[in-house]
Amino acid sequence: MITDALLGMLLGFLNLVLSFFTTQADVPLNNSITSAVTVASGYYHALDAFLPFGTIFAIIAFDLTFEGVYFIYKLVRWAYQKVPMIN
Amino acid sequence: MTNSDRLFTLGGVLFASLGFLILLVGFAPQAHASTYLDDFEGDSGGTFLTPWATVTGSASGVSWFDISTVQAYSPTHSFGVSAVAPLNNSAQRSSYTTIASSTAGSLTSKVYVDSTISTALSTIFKYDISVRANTTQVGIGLSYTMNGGTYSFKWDCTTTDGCPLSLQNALIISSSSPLIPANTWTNVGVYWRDNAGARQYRIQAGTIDTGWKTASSSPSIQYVMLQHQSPNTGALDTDKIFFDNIQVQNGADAVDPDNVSTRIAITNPTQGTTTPSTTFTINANYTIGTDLSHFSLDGSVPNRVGINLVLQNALNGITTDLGTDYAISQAVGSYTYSTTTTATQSDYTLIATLVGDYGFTPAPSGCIPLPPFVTCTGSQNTSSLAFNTSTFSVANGTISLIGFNSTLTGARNALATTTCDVTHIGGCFQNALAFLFYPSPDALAQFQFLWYNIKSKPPFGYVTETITALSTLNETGTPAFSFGNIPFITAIFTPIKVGLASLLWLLFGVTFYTRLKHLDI
Repeated sequence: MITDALLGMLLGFLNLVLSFFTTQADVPLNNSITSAVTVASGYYHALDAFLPFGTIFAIIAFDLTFEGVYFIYKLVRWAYQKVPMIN
Repeated sequence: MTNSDRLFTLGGVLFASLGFLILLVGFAPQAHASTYLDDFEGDSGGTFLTPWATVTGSASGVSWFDISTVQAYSPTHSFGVSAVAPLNNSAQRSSYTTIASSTAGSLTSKVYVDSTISTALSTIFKYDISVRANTTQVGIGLSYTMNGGTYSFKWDCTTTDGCPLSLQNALIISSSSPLIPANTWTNVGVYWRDNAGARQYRIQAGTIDTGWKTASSSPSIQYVMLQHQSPNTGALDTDKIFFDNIQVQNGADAVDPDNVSTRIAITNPTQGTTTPSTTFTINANYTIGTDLSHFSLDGSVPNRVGINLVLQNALNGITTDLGTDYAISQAVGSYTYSTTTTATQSDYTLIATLVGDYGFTPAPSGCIPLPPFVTCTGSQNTSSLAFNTSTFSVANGTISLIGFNSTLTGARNALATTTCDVTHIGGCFQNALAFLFYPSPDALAQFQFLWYNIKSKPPFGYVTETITALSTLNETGTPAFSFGNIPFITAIFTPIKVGLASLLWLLFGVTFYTRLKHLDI
């Protein structure tokens, strides 16, 4: 009940802020992006014969995840240190 | 009374009040939980359904037909090129013998019958038919041919005053099979009569078989005929028949000979208003947060769980069961049930239900379906574990989500214990805490709904659309170039690929180690 009330207030605030955006028309997918992805898929397919794309994507994903978690950790730590009486 | 006594008394009262409050609050979810959890000795936590199903689709027009011409004929009237013999004997009248097949041509080239009720027919047959007779028994019937079969139904009333009145637009046919072969006609007896004594029938179609009825299924719909009969009273009947308040019987105040049924033939329906219809795919997304295999009913666990989708037309309330998919797992995870259907322009409510299928072979003796179980048929006991509804609109080939309302039986209820009483005060505390602090699935779902509404709007849409486009990046499709038929190309490229992968992992390991060394913890 209490959590629901807090979430309701947060939702109300977000609705107020974002209500303008909901009235806008949907974003059409740019054909250039679609074409670019198609071309990239073509090269991906051709070069996948000897380039380890799977490894490359895995490393990038791991690194992004790690840095993201670390950033959140620093953010929480910064906020925690703002609490009075805590160094 | 000393101050310490007053303090002690006050503390006692406060303590008792607090305990009473805890019990009161604790019992509230307990009472709710008992509906669902007494039979589910399951785990805690988790939600079963995500708040909506995504609906995508494209438009495809379906032309319905209207009836533009109504032709009435007397017993001597010719229907098409075939002379129609008068129904001039009681045997014919009593059996509502249909007229011979007409060669006037198909009424329509195509008609689609969806769900279990003919939308097409229910759309077109909203006509009043007034039959005035000096007899105490009248009847009226409808027959038509479709897919090579002749379907008919009739309804009648045997006494003037004993016939029930019905509202206009009332569904005359409420039985399960109103349009049935002539030899299995069923009386349904719903009509109304006006103050002048004329019987007015309102025809609205009922259940017929589903699917496309096309001219290729020879013969297709050839005629739709309304029949009216009057009994043999030994005197002349003064029947007058009106169709949509228009007298369609030949001649004003025509007097039919006794023993003759009067028929109205609707011979010339034309392509009428096109009602847009849309074929779309429903992706019902489910998240099972609790291992359902732990749920039990009388010691039995569900043999399987499934997702059932029912589409309900908000306009006429007609429901279409889109089937149950038992392919999902009982394990924690997210699942999607995709199904494609076609619906006409209207608002719809999609009812998605997560069901557990408890197989009993044979059913336990004295099996009684306990809530939320609804059936105990002997071979299985299907329970509704959770359900939600999404409302969307199909209009002009586009589909838009209106809203949703989830009713989930998991989450907070699952946290509530079933043992809140004076000997299990801890359970009451748990109930109270769950009631006060555990967010309801609906509250959380509202955020998902908010994201659903804005994710395709600028500026968020630029990101989501790009991500969606990039998600299609893969190694399939046509390669930009090829290496031709180089001998031993695989033997050359594979070691290179493996070597490069090894080198990349090695470099990443060194880089990551260096990164860890310089982390500021």
